[in-house]
Order: sequence, then C-alpha cells, then structure tokens
Amino acid sequence: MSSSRPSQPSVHRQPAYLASTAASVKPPLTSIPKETVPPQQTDFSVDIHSYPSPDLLRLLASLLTQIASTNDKLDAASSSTNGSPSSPVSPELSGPIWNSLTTASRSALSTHSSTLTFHARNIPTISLEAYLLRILKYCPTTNEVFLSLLVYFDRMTKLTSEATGRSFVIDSYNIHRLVIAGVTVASKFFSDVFYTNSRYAKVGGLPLTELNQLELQFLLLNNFTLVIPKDEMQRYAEQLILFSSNNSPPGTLPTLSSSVPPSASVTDRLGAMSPAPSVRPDIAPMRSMGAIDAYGGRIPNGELHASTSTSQLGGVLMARQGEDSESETGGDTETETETETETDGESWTTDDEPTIRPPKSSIGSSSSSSRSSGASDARSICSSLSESDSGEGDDERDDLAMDDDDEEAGGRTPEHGAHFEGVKDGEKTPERLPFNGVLEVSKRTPPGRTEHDGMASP
Amino acid sequence: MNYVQLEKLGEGTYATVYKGRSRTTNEIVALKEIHLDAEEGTPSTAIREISLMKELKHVNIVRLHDVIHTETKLVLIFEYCEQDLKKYMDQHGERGALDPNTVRSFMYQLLKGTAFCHENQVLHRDLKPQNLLINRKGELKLGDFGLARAFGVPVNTFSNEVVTLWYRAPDVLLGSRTYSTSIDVWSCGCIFAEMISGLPLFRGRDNNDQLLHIMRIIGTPSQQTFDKMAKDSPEIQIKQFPRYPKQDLRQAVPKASPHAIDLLERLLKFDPAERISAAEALSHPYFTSAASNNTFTVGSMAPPAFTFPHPHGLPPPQQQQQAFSRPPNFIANPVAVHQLHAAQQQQQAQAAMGGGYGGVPMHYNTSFGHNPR
Repeated sequence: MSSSRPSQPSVHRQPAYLASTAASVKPPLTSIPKETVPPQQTDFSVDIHSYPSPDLLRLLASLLTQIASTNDKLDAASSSTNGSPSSPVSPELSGPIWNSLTTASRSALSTHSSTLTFHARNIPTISLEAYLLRILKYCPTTNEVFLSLLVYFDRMTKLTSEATGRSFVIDSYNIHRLVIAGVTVASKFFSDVFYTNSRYAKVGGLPLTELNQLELQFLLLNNFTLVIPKDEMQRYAEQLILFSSNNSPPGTLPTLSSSVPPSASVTDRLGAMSPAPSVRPDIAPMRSMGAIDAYGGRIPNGELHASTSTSQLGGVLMARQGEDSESETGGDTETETETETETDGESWTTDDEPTIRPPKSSIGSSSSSSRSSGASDARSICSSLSESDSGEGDDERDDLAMDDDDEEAGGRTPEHGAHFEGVKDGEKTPERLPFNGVLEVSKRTPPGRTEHDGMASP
Repeated sequence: MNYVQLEKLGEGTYATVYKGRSRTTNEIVALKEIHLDAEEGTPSTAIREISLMKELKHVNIVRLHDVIHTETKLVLIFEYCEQDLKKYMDQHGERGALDPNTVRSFMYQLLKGTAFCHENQVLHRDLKPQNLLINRKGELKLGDFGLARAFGVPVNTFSNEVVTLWYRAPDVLLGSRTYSTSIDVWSCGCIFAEMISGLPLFRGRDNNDQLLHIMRIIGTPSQQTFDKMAKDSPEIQIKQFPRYPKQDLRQAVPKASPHAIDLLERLLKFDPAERISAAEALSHPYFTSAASNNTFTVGSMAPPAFTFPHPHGLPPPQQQQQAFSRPPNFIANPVAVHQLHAAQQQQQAQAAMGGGYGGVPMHYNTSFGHNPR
C-alpha cells in the first residue's frame, strides 16, 4: 500500500478508492476539478434527491469503471513485478482501530476470504452502467442508496487497510458484486422500501446464497458502519459530479503495485461466458486472483464449495432466468422508461412497502408465483404502490416489494399481522428478469471465494 | 463464543434473546441471536439495529457491546436489563400505575434517550413500554431499534407502517410519510399517560379506530388544523371525522399532577408541528420545578428499582438530588452519530455522560435522574 500513501493526505476527503486506486492520478482527483472547473467548484450544490437517477448512475458507473480498470492495470503491472505481493499478509491485528471493531468484523478482516468473496473468477460481461441501470429498473430506489455505495466502498477499503494493513482493491472482478451487495445493504438500511434478497439476487444475476454471503461480508467489512451524515453524502455527490464534469480519466498509473494483487491475464477468459458451471479450470484463475495465492492452502476447500454450490445454484438460476426473461422482456422495456423518468421521490415515495417488518412473514407464500408474474417488473412495483394503505392494503402490493419482516406485525400493528404471506419471489417464483445470467461468467466463484463460509480460520 | 449462554429471555420472529455471561469479565449481558434467513439474508431489522445502536452511546439507550458472527447467525451482545417497562409496571405498579416519582424519573430518562436519538438523526419509531428496558438501578433504556431509521439523509421512502398502533401518532395514522421526530414524541406522551394511569391511553383496534380514540380524548382537530397538516404532508388523507370536543385530560388521566397534565398536552398535540420536542420537554416545569413536587416526594420511598441489590456495591444513585438541583442538561451529548471513529466516540461518550459500557459502574453524577425531587 505504500505507494498509495503519499497521496492520501491530500485526498482524505475523497473516496478512498479514488485515493488509493487513482492515487496514481497525479493530481489527486480532488484537484482535478480545480484545473478545469470554474472557481466555485466545490460550492455548487447538487440536489441529490432530485438529480435524475439514470444520469447519476451513469456518472457513478463511469467513475467506478475507471477506478476498476485503473486497478486492473495496476494488477497486471504488479503481477509482473512482484510475484505475490500481498502474500504474506501479516495483518497488524491490533491497535485502536482493530479494537474498536465488532468481533464479527474482526474475524472477517482477519482472513482474506471476506474480501475475496467479492472477487469473480472472470470479469462480468455486463458493463457497470448497464448493471446499475438494471438495478434501478428492477429494484428502484433513491439516489442516496446508489451514492452511498461510494461512501461504503471508501469505508471498506479504508478500514481494511487501516485495520489489517492489507488493501482491498476495487477492480473489474469485484465491482459488480460490490455494487449489488452494497445496494442490497443500503436499501435495507436507508429505505423503508426494499426488496427481498432473492429479488436482488436475480437482478444482480447471482445465486441467492451468494448474495446473502456478499451482503454479510459487505456489512462486516464496513463494521456495520452504515450511517452517513448528510454532509458526507453531499460531499460525495459533489465529488462525483465534479469528477464527471471534467472526466479526465486517470492517466497511467505509477506503480502502486505493492498494494495490489496481481490480477492478470486470465481476464481473457472473460469473454468466455462459458456457462459451464464447471468451475474447474482453476489454476489459471487462481493465479489471476493473485491475492488468493497467499492462501494456497485453503483454496482447494473453497474451490470445492464454490464449484458445488455455485454450479447448482447457477444452474437453477440460469434456467429460471432463461425461461422467464423472454416472457417479460417486452413489458419491461416500457417499465424501464417509466421508472427512469421518475427521478425524484415520486415513484419511490409512493413505494410503500413498509419493509421494516420481519422477514418471516413472507414465507409460505406460494401465491407469489402467480403474482410475481405481474409484479416482477419494475412497473408494477412502482404502480402498485401508489395507493395508500392502512396496513390492509399491504398484501395487495406486489410481492416483490415486500419484504416485510413481519415479526413485529403481530405485536406491532394488529392490523397487519398476517398480510405478508405472499411475498417471496424467491426461488419459487421465477422472476421475469431479462437477465440471463449477466454475471454468469463470474458466478463461478473463484476458488477460495467461498472458503470463508465455514472454514476460514486464520 | 466468549459468552456463556444462559436462560432464554424471549423470542421473536427473527431473533431469540438469551441471558449470557462473559467468560472473561463475568458480566451479565443479553445475547440476541439473529438467524440469517436463507431468503432474506441479513434481516433489515438487524442491519438497522446494529448500525444505529453502535453509534448511539447513551445511558438511556441500551448499549450494543459487540456483534459476533457464527455460521448461521449473528449474535448481538447487549447490556443486560432486568425487565421492560411493561413488566415493571405490572409488577411494581398499582394496577400498572407507577408512583409519581418513578413516573417522573422514567419519563425524564425516556425523553433523554429519545432526545439523544433525535440529536443524532435517528428516529426510533417504535417506542412503547415493551421496548423500554429497566435495569436494577432504575435506569430506563431505549431498546429495539429494529424499526429505527436515520433521518439525516433525506430518503423519501418512509413507511407509515411504523410504531405499534396504540403509540402511533395521528399524523402517521392519517398516512403521513414525512413525519419526523415528533412521532417519537407522541409515543412518549402515550407512555407517560400509561405510566401514570396504568393503562394505555388510546387503545384502538385498527388505524381508524385508533384515530377516533385519540380524537375522543384530545378532540377532533379543527378544519384549519387538518388543512394545515395536509399542507405540511400532502400525502395524508383527511376523511370526515366525528367532531369530538376536547376532553379535559384530567379526566382521562386522573392521577396526573397539573404539571404532568400540562406536559402531556404538549406531547400529545394532534398537529405534529405543535408537538413539543423531546429536548424541550426535558426542561418542562414538570421536571424542573422541584418545589411544586415536594409534597409528593417528601418522605416517599425511592422507586422500587432501587431496592435491588446493587451489583457493584455502590450506593444507590446519589444523583437524585444533583440531577435536579441544576437545570436538566438535555443537550448532554455532543457526540455526533458518525464521523468519529468508534474509539474516539467511546471516549467522548463516556466523558460526556459517564456512559456505562456494560458492567462498568456508572458515573452517577450525570444526566438522568431517578426519583427527582
């Protein structure tokens, strides 16, 4: 990480991954604006809430893509330089920061596996922009949720490096997963409207179990620090918009290498969207993962896991998605426009799924299937919400939106105890998400990826 | 795990709570085990509870000590409290009604904890006796932040399905989604009345019935008030309601002192804009005018809570006098919810309010008062 350090001070107000990844960018990103943008640069205020979401997502995508690809290059570079740079990670597992963490986060941070969880074996073929827009379309949410990704990515990279001395590099292999996990977490945290994890998984193109893993690791790597002060959010928004307004891609980066795991060559297989759930062609991927090398020991296990679980799930998922997607694609398109145009509040506000109810309730619904057909597209999500409800209405809303946790329903509001049955769009109901395994490629987790579930131990 | 699991304390849909003991310090804690649902992943209630409570360090808020992750669950380690206010009222109250000193002490602590949440941009959204925990020192603490949410960041997606019906503010009952801190204040008012009388003040069967119960006591608001509320929160729906006259609160809550009635009226304003804030309420004469309450307290016993053997052998809180010998310090805590990293935060929090982190003896000279006089 050494090389990235120097620039840190000047960029401390910035997304850390900008700092670290783009640390390289000679004038750190903060300063870029100064050159190109008129004086008032940081003072212009962005109304986060009313900013058109699709536009915001494009900016976000472009920023994240740049970061990722920059880091990819670094990976490549560094891999040639030092064989296993990050290998003997000797985390400095102590100190005030370390001690301030929850036990859960400490144990996550003490192994590589939690960061590796996000690492796909191959780079997903879907562009980040398309990916984000897809999320917006099928799991509409507010700009804050998307923006919060920057904050969280920043926090996790920072925390990882401060607490363990390792770096958590955002690159093309992990960015999609970070995004979907982040959206899931942020929606659940910020908004009373959010969807079931199975929906996020489908939209994100990965198996539910995997998303669940990612979600949890995301929380742990953030040490559950999800609160974002208003001004911090605002700062990020402004940075993002500034960044885009003088979108000068980071130049070639100096070394930085040390902090970066060698990620290399294997990327060529990304195009190989081989749906083969096989997972096996590993040696190479392993190498490419770089960081994993350090854990040679564990890989085999992880691999097993990965291959078994993902292949099964993957299969299921692919099959399901495959069928469904067609049926609804048409409808979805309109939907898309619809959602996209409603940039601010409206569509969301009306969204009422009072999601804060305990999850269980939604179980046992088989009805969901019938329902989800209509409900599964974004349109219905939005439209079905407008009515205002007094609890009773809830069950009429589309299933997707419900994620009600109902535990409290009984105790809390007599009136809506029982309503949420229908909800799980989960496994049972194919959703019409025209998403034929966008992440499929990557779905096959890299060896070692899943190792943490269960068997990781320092 | 570093804790021995003892008896089960309760069970909810997404969590089971056990009493526990630390293997290292012997401290008694509450272990809240959250099952990681295959469908849902990490429950949003858990996500909120952890991330919000982690930041809210205050004597009147149940302290989250740690989070542990095992294969299938998350375990939240909370400071242990003997019982909740509901049970406390059942056991110690006279048909549920608490004596005036205890009411005042609890009410003060309730408002203090609530004000702290609000200062830190957190809405609790489910204040009710069952969610207020009482420990053997007579400290009242806000718990169960599963419905809570941060409101600093304007995310327009507020649900109005919040707060247990009987404690739900009328604006929320009318469909408001732009509510804010005043909804917690309403709940505080309901709890206040309940502590005094022993019975929930408004016991509706459903949303509409709840509104009617409210109006029967505090009166149907004027058309102007309705119009104003609709202007403030366009999403609310005003139907035709029977015109109930305002009832004298003394009838509804006969045991309340005049100061208590006055505070209650300010807490239970139909229009959220008119409701007193939690912080303001703390300096209401009900708490501050010691003289007027002397008659009650002279010679009276401390609240039953204090009869518990004290775990640390400290004398029962001496702060009774102190706390009210000066104006309540309701802005107590400068700790901003975020920004500070945990270590700092902890320090500050402790400095500011002698925050008891678990078994650590409390510094009694701070903020809240039980048994004020």
